[in-house]
Amino acid sequence: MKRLKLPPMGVFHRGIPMEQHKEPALSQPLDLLTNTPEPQRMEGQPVYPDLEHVEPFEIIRAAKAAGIIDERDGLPLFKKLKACVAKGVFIRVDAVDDEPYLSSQLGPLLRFREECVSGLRLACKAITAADSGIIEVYRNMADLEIKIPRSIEGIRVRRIGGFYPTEIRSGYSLVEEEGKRYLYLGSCALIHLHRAVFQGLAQTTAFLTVGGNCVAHPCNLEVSLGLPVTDVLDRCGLTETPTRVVVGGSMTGQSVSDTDKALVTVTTRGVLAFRDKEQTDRSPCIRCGRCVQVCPMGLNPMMLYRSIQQGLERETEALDYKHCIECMCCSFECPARLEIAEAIKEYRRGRRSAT
Amino acid sequence: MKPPRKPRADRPQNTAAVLPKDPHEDAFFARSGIVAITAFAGPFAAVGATTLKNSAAMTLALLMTLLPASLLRFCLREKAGLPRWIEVPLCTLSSMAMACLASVLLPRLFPLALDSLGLYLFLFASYSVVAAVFSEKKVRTAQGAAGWAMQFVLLFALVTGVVGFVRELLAYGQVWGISLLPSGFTLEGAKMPFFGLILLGLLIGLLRYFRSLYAVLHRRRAR
Amino acid sequence: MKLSSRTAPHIRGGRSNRTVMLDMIVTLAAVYFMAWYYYGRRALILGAVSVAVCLAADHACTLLRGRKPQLLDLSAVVTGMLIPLMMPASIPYRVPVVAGLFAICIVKQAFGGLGNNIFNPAAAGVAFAIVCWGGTMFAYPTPFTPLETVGNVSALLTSGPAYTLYVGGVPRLDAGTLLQGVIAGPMGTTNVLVIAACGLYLAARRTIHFLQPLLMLGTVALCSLLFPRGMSEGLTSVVNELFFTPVVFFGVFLFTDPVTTPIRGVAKGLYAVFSGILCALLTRFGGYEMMFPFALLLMNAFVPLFDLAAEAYCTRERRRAYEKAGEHASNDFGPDDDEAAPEAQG
Repeated sequence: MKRLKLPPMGVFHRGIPMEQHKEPALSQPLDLLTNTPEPQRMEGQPVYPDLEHVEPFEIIRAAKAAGIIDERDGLPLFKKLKACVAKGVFIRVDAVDDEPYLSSQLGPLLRFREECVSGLRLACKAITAADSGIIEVYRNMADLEIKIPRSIEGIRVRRIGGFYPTEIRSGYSLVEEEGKRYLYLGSCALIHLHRAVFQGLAQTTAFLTVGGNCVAHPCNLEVSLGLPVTDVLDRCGLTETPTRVVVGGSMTGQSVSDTDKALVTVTTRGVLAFRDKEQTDRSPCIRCGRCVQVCPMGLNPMMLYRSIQQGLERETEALDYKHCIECMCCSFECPARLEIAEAIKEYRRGRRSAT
Repeated sequence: MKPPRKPRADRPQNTAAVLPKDPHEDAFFARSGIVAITAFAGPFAAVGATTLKNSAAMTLALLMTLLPASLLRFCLREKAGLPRWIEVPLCTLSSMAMACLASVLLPRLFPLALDSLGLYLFLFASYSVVAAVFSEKKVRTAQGAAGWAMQFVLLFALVTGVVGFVRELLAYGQVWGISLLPSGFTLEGAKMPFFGLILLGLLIGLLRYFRSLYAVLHRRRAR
Repeated sequence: MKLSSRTAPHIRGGRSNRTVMLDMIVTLAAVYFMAWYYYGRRALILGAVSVAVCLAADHACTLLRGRKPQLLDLSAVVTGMLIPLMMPASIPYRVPVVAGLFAICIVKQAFGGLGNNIFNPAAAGVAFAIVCWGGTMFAYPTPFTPLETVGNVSALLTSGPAYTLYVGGVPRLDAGTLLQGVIAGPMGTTNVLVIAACGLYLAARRTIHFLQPLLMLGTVALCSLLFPRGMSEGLTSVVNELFFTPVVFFGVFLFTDPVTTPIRGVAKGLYAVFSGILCALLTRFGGYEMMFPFALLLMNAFVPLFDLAAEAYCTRERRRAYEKAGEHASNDFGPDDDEAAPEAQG
């Protein structure tokens, strides 16, 4: 499916400028929450002294042995690297956290700078990249106490502007732009790559942000895989009982029904605990058109919602429901608190399972 | 989140699906009655039925034009050997003749009717077309033809009567010339056609409600 | 800890239907304050009666339709507040009551309730009142004359500058009265500056988009500049149209009702321009001195057409952008079962 750069249509903007709420989580020290005392070294995996003494294929083999999964799309890192070997691909490091409350790529990047850049250099060597790569961060974060430098260890830091959702949030990792191909790798995956090659460690942790309006000490954590969400929340403390606990981003995450059974996985980006105000009344759609204004793909969420609720299949097809990227902007803006994006998501799931 | 609505196939398409199929019971609440009201009684109810007397005049005029036209059509179709295409022109001619007769006789009963209705008395000739469309399946005997015409006239009387009654009450504070409401409370807008159309819409809604009630009662009785 | 499962997104924007309605109520309260300043208590009581009638009718009709009435639904309050503001302060109480009943029961509820009505209920109610009580609707008391709160009003009723414009004359009023709004006219529409301030407030709160009333009023101003009514010329004509007729009130409060305007931004802009043209036309050639409710109702009838056209245009542009997209993105890194580790390359 082609991802598109939409020409501006009409007078109104697309996307939503969000209040990011990255602090205080971003400025706190990044701690480790683990259930094993010692990091586990892989058996049979050699440890390389430095960048000059490791071959490209050995880097990819180390990534496979360590089982590193890229947190931005859930794909194994070695597969991504293998597919781009010697193809003139540029690497971009994804440290863009444009969902509010999350900073699980930006935080580790700033705390473990050398490791991340070292991982980037390893990845560039592994695929014989055309240049030494760029780190991308989000620009529109107004409440930061920490300053993001212009370059980290010699690698340029590029600031991505725009409203939520920014362009690279569509989830695709191999992008062709003006004839050049770019591979997006998550910053945490590069940290794990550095540890795998130079310390022989498998990936046993995930970096995530703990936040939300009922967490006592929001922070970024490095959490052992498989720990239940309850432990993570206990570590940071709760000021009051949450009405929802979300695993993932505040816009696109999944809410958990049992925090003891929900476990931290490799693609967990955040654990957020919210206490909502009670929703008093259900109002109908008043046709204000805000959802239409903010849809980044130029769709008409209002008409889609109506046609899905009324079961009009041909009309839903004609409204291009397949191009929805599930960014949840429409539901966010809706004054009547309708579950527009959820309806479209359910419909797509239903159609996909039907075919 | 609300559970998704049942897909269209599961829900009954319209209330006709639950109506009884017995043609005798179908007579008064016939689907054709509702279509006939919307399509043909609309302009008459909206423009002409401003007072109850006007409605009565229109109903009488309809009776005088439709009944002979319906019987004539039955005769042409079943008894005479004339081709089918000659039905509509002959029926229209007979309706026009009867309308002229009505325009002479009605002022005796309703002196002001002709002035306020004007052209609408002669438009009843169009009902002969209605007769052609809606009496296809129902007319097998002369009594059937007359019965169909009477049914149509009664329905027309009901619709224009209700609309005329409400409009006369609101616009003039009178019913059949008798003052009911204290003077000073009149809605001039009720005389206008838009109000007639609104009332027509509300009346149709009411009739559909009664029809669904009837269907529910019938189902309950059948169990 | 066990929780109920919730759907994404997990944070929501600050706006809700109630805040939208509350914004409108706050601005209308400011307009009512000016009406009280000019006409005393009767203005407030008219408003209160109208709101009470509209609320009662709304809840009664909702019950009649078999739904549970939402006590916090403030849309009927907004309609109730809007209706008397377009009438003279000396109007008998039955007029806004009947207009409110017509607006809520027939124009709003009979068409499907909140969100489904095709025509603007407040405008339809006022249009009905104009049709039924034409003379009474256009006989205004002069501001600052005392009006009785109960019973018939004994003050002298005149026609306002709007009537002068309607018959082709030029109203003579100085800048002071013009800016202060001390002219004979509908209760809430005479003080244009207050209404413009309300419009700015609503636009700042993003309840309405600022371009909607701006485009409409701009078009009306342009039409009055190019085709002045009667004997006024040029800028005087523009000032007369904007300040002596209730057009600014209509532009800010009634033409921006979200339920009865098109959805897409393109369509909203076009709708505003066409509304302005139609308002200018009907003001020029219409049968009453205040033709704006009828212009609004006529434009409401064409809103689905605007929606269809805008949707077709936007769909075409969107699909063209899809095809022209220079980027190709994928997550295709090879077959799923390709698990072999890379070997040394020679």
